[in-house]
Amino acid sequence: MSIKKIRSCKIATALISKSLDVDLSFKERLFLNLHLMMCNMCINYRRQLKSLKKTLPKYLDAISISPPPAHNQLSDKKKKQIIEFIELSS
Amino acid sequence: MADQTLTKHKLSDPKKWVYLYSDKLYRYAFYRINIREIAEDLVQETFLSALKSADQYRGESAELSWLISILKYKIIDYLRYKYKHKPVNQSDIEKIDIGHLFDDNNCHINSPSDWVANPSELFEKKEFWKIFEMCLELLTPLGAQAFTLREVENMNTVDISNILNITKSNLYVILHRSRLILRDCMDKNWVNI
Repeated sequence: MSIKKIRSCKIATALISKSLDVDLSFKERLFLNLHLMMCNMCINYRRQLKSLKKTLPKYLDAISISPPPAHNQLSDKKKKQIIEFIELSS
Repeated sequence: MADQTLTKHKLSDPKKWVYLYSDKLYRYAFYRINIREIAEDLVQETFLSALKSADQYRGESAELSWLISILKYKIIDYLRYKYKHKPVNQSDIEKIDIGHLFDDNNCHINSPSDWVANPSELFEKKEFWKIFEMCLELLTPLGAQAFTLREVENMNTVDISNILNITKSNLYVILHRSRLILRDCMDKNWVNI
């Protein structure tokens, strides 16, 4: 393990991400811990990913109470089409 | 026997559904798929399926939740079908580009800030979700699809790699890159709330 590699945030962020999906190997954990000992940025990075993981499942609740983004809505044309389909099949 | 009619839950007029729910369903579908036309079609299919199975509606959940649960199946069916017939290749993964996020020493260009300093209620604000949606649009469809299955749906990686028809190691790469891009975007816009 070279110093240059241990200093790489590119490798460290990949391991941080992977650690949220699967258990890291002994070697990967060792590498990540060494990196985190000297990199506050990646410590924050890991915290942010964990905050997102905790919060994002609430997305469904959030969209049922907040208005949709103005630039991205179902087109009127499609709405009309759907109503026609519903009328045809009911 | 007479009680049966009383316990049967009725749905509101299906034509009203479109006014009441189509924007919400579309929003959910769009940010899960990241392709406009597909999201529109999935909303339409959801209404038609709902109409066919209206007699199975038990009134246990709100109409919107019931429709969303149908939409969720439609999304997964679509992804399964799509990636079975057009498997992900290396260039789809390369398109989730993270080159601009690291300098020559492979160090973060935009240093991640310490969100812990921010009150946790910020997550509850609707601005948070606005930023989240804006940042999701930066991801490629594949990136957004994998990311939302994992982080919004909280689905396990074995199921996701089956749905997307990819190896687990490819899934880790896609999730890693998408997390980098999304986090960078959220962090940059977060301070402006």
